[in-house]
Amino acid sequence: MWTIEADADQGFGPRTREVWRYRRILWFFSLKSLQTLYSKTVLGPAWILIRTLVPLGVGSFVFGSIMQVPSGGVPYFVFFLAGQVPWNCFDGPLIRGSRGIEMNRQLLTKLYVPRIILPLASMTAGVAEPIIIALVLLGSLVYYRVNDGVWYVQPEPRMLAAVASVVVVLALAFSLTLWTSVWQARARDARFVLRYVVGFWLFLTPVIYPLSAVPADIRWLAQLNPLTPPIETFKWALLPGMQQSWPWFLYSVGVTVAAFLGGAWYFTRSESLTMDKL
Amino acid sequence: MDSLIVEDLGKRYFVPSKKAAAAPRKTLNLGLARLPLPRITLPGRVGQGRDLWALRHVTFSVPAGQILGIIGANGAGKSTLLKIIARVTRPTEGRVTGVGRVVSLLELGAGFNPDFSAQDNILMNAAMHGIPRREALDRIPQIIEFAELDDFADNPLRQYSSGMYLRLAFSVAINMQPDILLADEILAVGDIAFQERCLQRVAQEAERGLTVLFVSHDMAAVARLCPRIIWIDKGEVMHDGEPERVIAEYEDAALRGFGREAAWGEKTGRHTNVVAEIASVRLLNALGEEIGAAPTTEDVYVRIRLKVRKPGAVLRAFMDFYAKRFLVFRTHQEQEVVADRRGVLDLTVKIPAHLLSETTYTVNVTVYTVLVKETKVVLDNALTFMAYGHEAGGQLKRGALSPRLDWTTQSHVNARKKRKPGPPGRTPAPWGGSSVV
Repeated sequence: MWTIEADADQGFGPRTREVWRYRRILWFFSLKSLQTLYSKTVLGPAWILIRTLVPLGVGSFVFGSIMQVPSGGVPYFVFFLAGQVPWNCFDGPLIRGSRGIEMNRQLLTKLYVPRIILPLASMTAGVAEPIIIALVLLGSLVYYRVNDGVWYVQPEPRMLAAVASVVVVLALAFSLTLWTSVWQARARDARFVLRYVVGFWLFLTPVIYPLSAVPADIRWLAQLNPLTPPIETFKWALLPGMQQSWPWFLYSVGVTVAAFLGGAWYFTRSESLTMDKL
Repeated sequence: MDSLIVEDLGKRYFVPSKKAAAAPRKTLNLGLARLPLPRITLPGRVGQGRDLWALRHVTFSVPAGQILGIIGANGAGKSTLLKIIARVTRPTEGRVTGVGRVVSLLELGAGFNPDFSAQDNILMNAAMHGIPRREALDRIPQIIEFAELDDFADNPLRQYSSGMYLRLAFSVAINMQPDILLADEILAVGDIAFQERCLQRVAQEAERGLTVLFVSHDMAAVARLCPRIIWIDKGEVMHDGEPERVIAEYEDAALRGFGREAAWGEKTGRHTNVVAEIASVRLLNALGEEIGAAPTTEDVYVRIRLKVRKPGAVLRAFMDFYAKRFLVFRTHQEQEVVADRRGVLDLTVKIPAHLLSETTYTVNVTVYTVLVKETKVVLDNALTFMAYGHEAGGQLKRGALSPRLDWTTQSHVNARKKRKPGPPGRTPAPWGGSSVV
């Protein structure tokens, strides 16, 4: 026995149970979002590699070799990659997850599924890149071991902090897609704005430079950026000679939780209207 | 027991006026209006437009196992109704209560991924209906069998013909074991043979308790499948009842709207001349009452009402019956009649029961009038009506005509001797000859 009513909110519990009941569509929509990365191309899945690797090469050359950004004792390439992994856990998933509703417009106007799953599933396409970058990082470590005879990364318990950082970054990206996917479904303008915002955000976050390069008196400002603590923590967990701060890390977790709760509220609130405007 | 109850359902859409739609306001509001933020007022006119009720005060209930037909013109609100029940869109007011799993076929192949194989698509659809994976895996063979995919089951859907796509979509929906099936024009595409199989399968599942909401413009299919029809117009229920009556009302209204007007509107003067004028052409039942659709199991009458202007004219009427733009038959008066006085003259032809098929007929009328010289009055599309029957299964009435003809059965004694005698009720008649059924 079920009831559909004009303004009956199901409440948090039933909604969560519903998402669980439909959990398997996550897999199918994730596959679909992965396909969009290379469907109708000649090179196929190779595009995922190309799109990831070329910016890596260019970026590390410009910032490391030309601009001589300090990298605290490790080769800049390693430092660069250690920043790119968590950053790409944010950038790609956010951009792709934001398209989750809009991309499935055709389906959503014909069939009911718990819509909150869609931004999450669309994030999957964005996770491919950080995984590839992580593999490149691993490869570069082997390269430096062979060439320089040094392991720049030592297996240590604090590496677990890297995992925690990635989780926080992904969770923050998902929380934000709960807002951006709605905006993007309503107006495509949101897509262009988002690209700009994320583009600037990269430079405001210590990804290509260490936080220690930021003047001490405004460092707190950089740390207010909720991405700074997890990314710094990620580098600290892998590389020697880095610093991080757990209180700031907890601050990021707090921001993420707030963004998620607000996002879930906003997404649910505007769901009905969004569907009518698709 | 009712399987679906719709109470005072309404859906309002906001239709921005053209000026407002062109202004950037809507896009920048982003739904933040509810937040306690200072309102950002932007250039552009705020809130211009009008409310449109796609559905209003719709109330009905459907008992389990009933196939409810929903008819109405385009934009009448039929699809909105199904979308609300399918939870694709929320109602603005009212309530829907239902029992069991709802499976919607609002569009064939919605929720299919062209890059997946049939099997993966079946699993994906099951997931989209919240059906456990094991249950879905069990049904794959029967889904593929009903869809007649043969060797294509492992190919991506991209390679399917539209017919295969359609068959798979229907097969998936019906095999999800829905308690309520929402079907919007599912039969608008696809070949006749498969349409028949779909209709049969739907009827079969209905006997097991499946409730169906069947939206279609195919009056023949609706009349045959549904014991009850709702006609929705401009978002409101106009009629709810037996198919023949509702369809008659609907077609009548539709014809009043455009059909007859268009025919009469052709002011070529063809339907009138100095001798006579065709005033009306109507479909009647045996009691002389006007009807909108013809039951194939009863005699019906088509009456031409003439206004005779010149007494003494000799008249002979012809009627051409068209189905799907093909001339099915022509009938004419064997004897000329003489209009001995001015006034109204009715020329009526009886269409016997068990002649028409279940389709829509259009009648063109020609009346030859001879006074001094031969002239004629012609009215094309004078009458459009649907014929319907109640025989079980869709196989019985096919073609443009479906006359009841005499069949003969003859069994030969020699041939039967070799067989074992059947059960007592089935023993051949003792005379062993032919029997006329």
